Amino acid sequence: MAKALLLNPTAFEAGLVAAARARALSPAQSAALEAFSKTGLPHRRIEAWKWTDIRANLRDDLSSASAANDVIAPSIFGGLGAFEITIMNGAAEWSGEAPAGVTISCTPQGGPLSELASNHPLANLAFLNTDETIAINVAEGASVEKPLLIRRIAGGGAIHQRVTVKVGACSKVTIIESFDGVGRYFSNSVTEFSIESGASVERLVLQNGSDDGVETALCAVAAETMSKFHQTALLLGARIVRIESRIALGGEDAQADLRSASMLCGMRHADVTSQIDHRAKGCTTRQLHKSALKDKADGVFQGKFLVARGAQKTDARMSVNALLLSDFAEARHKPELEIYADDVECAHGSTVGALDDAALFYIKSRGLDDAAARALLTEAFLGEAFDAMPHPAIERTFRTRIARWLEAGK
Amino acid sequence: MLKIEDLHVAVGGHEILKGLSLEVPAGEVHAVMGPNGSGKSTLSFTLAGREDYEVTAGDVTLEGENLLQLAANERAAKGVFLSFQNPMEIPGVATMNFIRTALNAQRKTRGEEEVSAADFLKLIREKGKLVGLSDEKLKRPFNVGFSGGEKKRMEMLQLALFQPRFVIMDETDSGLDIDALKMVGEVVNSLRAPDRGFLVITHYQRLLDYIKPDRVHILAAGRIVKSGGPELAAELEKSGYDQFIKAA
Repeated sequence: MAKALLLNPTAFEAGLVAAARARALSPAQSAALEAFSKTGLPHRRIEAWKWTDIRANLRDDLSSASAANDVIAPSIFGGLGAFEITIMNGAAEWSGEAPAGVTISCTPQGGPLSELASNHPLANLAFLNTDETIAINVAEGASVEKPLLIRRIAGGGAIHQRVTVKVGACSKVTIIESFDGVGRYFSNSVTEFSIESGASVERLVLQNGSDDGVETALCAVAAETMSKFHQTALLLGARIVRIESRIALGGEDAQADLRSASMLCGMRHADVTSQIDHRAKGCTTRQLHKSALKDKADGVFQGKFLVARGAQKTDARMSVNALLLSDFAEARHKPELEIYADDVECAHGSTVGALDDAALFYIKSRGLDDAAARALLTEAFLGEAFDAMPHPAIERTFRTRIARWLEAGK
Repeated sequence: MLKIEDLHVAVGGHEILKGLSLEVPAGEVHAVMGPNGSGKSTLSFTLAGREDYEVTAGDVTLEGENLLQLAANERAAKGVFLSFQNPMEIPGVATMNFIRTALNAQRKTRGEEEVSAADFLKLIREKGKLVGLSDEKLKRPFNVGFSGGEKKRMEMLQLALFQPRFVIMDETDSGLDIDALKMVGEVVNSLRAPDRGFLVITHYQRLLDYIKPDRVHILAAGRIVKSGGPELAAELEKSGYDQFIKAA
């Protein structure tokens, strides 16, 4: 049994370790517990977590936080005809047959974590606390028309969840992951994609937590030759949210396209962090992040492109833009390039600003009131992240959600 | 119709308009001419309601109603239209959607019914033809990638579509070729009406070859220093602004 080495564990950390010790752990889980016992929850003194201090926001024991399963609104994706897997407080449920070419199963632990997830403190935590892993398998050559919707709902307490997705060669699949929450909770999930040669994955993320919720979601992607991983995420935040992507473009000519937007109000905090490792020749990455921040909201972006020595002809571009809609909102960006190859095109750009007074006046001079003019410009700013999505119905869903936020403020 | 009395306006703490008075009766076109820095654009922005242009003294009324107490969008609904010298590009906002939203916002403020999508489409295509903007241009994000001349055509399209009561044209002629100037003249002349007024702000005589003004005013150092008939514009073209700057 692993020994807790943390000098001053918080009540929450002590509870996590005690709960894990009480379970029957596999050797791999015991190793994960040992790793977690040494580090505890990520905190601000660790560079990668300096703006998103999970430990400080999870001091109290959450075991008494009751589940509130009955107050979740229907999914905004309800009209898409997607195959839905609901994960309520960590317990997965679905009905009916999976679409042709897809198999879905629950396995007790689901094998060790993938390379990209294995050194992540919260992925280890999810792994050692997960009773069942949802394993999705897309058969080689399958073109799955019906999107798969993984609907995560957190209603109280500490919830850990793991999904693995194996995408066979030359197949095509769309996976939507929604994260909703009510009340006080810690939702910690890890989704691991293994994308074989020539396959194409469209991942869509919609996150909307509660003002008391803490959410962390890691997506680890191993992409092989000529595969494509496209991700579009819309975040409405929670007390603390971190949506993290670790992507390894391990085969030649693999492509990653990451687009995201955070729209935050009140005291909400959302952190979009990514690292994309270009490990083979000719890989392409496009990344765009936008945030619109009201009140005292806090938007964080950390993005890193790593280009290995042999990854010549890498073409990678990152752009991050924040719109401050109040004097008290904060945007913090850390774009990074780490390049070891000498024949690459890599670029990053970062901007933080307010709405343009001249544009606002122009719009108001045409008859729109101040609130409508601001909403129009904000919607246009955020909307760039959702231009020309491959599923028009999903694009409309995202745009509707933006419009609703602009109208209602949440 | 439009009456400006002793208007003082400061921008960033600097007084730009220093007691400007002017009256444009309904049905008339008045030209305001002046050198760079005389306050022409300040006048146009102030009339349209730009908030960071501080009116420190004076009155502006339209048909007896105090304009200065109205927000920019309320002035638009009352029928005040400013054709911008440098029209904005608005990335991410579809042109037709924007103009329809604007038209319906004006109508809603006036308590009128909204224009349906079908009626609007017919209307904007008709006005697009009038000003020389193709359907393809109207489908783009607002003014994005447009030339200076195309942006002015977009201003004229909105003018023709909104049918405002009082029109302020801020150096609409700048950056225009002869054909576009002619188009501007045609749009304005087609809208001249007994219940509509125009204030045409320009540096040069050339726009006034297409839009015949009833009166010409010379603006220098923040106030009107001379007013006269159309012949005043021709005189300016010959003698320049020097004498008026010195007199101001």
